[in-house]
Amino acid sequence: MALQVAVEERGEGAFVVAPRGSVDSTTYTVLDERIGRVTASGPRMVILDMRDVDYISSAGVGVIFKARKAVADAGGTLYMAHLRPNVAKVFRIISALPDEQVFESIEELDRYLDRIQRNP
Amino acid sequence: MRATRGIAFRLAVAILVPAGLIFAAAFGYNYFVSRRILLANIEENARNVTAVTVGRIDSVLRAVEKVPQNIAYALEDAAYSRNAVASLLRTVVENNPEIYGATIAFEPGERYGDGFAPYFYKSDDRILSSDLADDSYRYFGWDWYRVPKELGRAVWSEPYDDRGGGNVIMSTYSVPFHAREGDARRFAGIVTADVYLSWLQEIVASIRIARTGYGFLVSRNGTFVTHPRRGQIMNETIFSVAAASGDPRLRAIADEMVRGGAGFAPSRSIVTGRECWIAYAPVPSAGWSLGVIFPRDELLADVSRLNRTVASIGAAGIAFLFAVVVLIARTITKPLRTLSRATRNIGRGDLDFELPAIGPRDEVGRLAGSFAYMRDSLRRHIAELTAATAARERMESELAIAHRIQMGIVPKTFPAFPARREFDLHAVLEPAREVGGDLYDFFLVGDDRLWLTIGDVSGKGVPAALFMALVKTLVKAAARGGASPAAALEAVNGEMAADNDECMFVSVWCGALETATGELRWSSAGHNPPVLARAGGEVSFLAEGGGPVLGVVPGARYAAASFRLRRGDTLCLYTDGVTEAFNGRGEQFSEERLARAVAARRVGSAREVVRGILEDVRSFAGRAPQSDDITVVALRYEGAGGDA
Repeated sequence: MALQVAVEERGEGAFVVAPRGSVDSTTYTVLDERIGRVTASGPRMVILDMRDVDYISSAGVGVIFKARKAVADAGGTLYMAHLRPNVAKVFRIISALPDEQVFESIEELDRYLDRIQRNP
Repeated sequence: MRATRGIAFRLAVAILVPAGLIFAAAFGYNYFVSRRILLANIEENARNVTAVTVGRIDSVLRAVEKVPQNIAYALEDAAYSRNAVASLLRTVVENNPEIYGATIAFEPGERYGDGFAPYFYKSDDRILSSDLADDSYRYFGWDWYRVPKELGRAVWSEPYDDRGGGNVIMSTYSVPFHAREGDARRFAGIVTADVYLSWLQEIVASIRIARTGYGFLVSRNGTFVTHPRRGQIMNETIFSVAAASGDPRLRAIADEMVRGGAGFAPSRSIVTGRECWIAYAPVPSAGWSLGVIFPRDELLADVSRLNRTVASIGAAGIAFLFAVVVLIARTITKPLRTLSRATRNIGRGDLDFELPAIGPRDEVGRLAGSFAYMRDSLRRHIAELTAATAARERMESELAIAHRIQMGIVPKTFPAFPARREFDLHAVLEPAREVGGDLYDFFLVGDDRLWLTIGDVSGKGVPAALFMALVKTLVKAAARGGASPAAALEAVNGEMAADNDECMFVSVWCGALETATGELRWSSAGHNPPVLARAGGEVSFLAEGGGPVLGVVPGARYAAASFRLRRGDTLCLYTDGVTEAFNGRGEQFSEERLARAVAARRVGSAREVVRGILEDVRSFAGRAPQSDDITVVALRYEGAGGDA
């Protein structure tokens, strides 16, 4: 199953990465390569739009951990939004992502970001 | 060899057939035209020969005719005495060598009573005379007398042979004369001259056309007067010869000749019977006809020879052309045959054969170049393939060894603790590839603590396998050191998160069973919640607790949890290879199916539980390939001092 990855820049240093398909042991390198290009630019914020990801294996989770670490090392934050239930369950089991980095939707993420910026 | 014949044959046909057609056209045209010219010449020549010969014959005959004609004129104007008539005749016979005899025959009752016909003729060297008015002869009843009398003009008789045998042929020329009384003319008699015709034979015999072309003369009724075969003279007619030959053309010519016509027509030779042309023309004075035979094959011999020569040159030319074509075809096909053999060698896998050395300038040379290139490419390709295959085989054998090593890492001897009655344990690990990232472990710490570990390294293959070995060792070391599951996970996470740039991680569930009491303390590092099947039939998943997967969150804390196993309870550990096994429709096996599978087997041994789950997963997946490692561990608690 092929994996397509759309990358969109939303303002200064903010990127939305939207994988589409199944992130498994045969396709994870595609996502790794695309996210790697984004994180190499030292982004302030990377949002993973997961609405079109129907499956993620441990190799795919590894890519996201790696991305989170790279973004954090550059002083930014990685967020995830629109997780499907089965994908959300994987992350819940792994329980390695702080809840503040996972959102129902990008709109919810926007509201969260607004809030923390008004009340620093 | 078939290919050689094929090209040579096609080349030969393509070149020789047009060449042959061109040559045949030129040859045919040449033959046709040269033959037509020759025929025109022959016909022209034939008309000339016959005209000249007829002219010669006619002039002689006319000269001879003058003698009796003049006598006739003289008799019309004057009356001669019997003696004068006799001496006139003697003089005429004496002085005209071509005249054998002559007579003046008076009509009975005219001038000399009942008839007067003195006849003078040559006999040896003398001149003899006789009187034809003899009672026994009665000259006025004979044709030589009656025919000119009745026709009223001079007449040449049919030639005749005076002595038989054709030796002395003669013809009699008869001229009527008249008595004049004022303006009226009255028939008074006939003057005749018997003329030798031997000169006629000489004239006609002088005609020679090629080898067997002769002249011949026929009389008014077709009798041969001259003929190259003497025996035919006076004995045969042209009609009898035509009938004997059976050739209607000759018969037609015979008719024409007797009718006094002139012409030139193809026929059959009256001498040899072969094809010929016959030219014929009438002799006007006597009403005879001259024929000349033009033998066809002899006259056409030149043109035939010419055509044979031309045909020979043409045949030799075509043979030469054929040889050249075959030579060219061979120079083309010889290297092709060599290439063909070479190709068969390639087919057999022999890539070291010598390619024929062919000049690079022609197409075959380029073909040979392409072959050499193909052979070299194949050789290189095969070498690379061989090397790649060898590398792959080496890698596969290394992987097979790695598989055995990995399988050796996890405990596989069952029953694992034959002496312990409190619990029953069974486990299976089925990697999706040769080596995998799943792990399980169990061992006793001290005498009454059973330690259980199950884990799943992110990713698969050799990196995951290395990570797996590391995790198992670290966990076991921590457990042996007396740590609780939660403490052990914290310790291992600390080790692993330190320098983990690749962000590999592992989910691990650890549990420590106090075999005497059934108390089980556990903690989970992001691992799938185990299934607990109570003896009473209640099936639940152990609430997710603990902390994040190992390796990615430095300094993570892991919550400890515990519960008590009762007799007959079964705890089932697994990795996501079980719940996320796909079937052909893309559906996952799911925790619900797992719960049902465990519930269905909960009364059996640990081994039966493990086998049952694997069976269900396999039948669910059907033909869909196994995408992830599958590990199942079942622990059945039989109670302290178990009496199972």
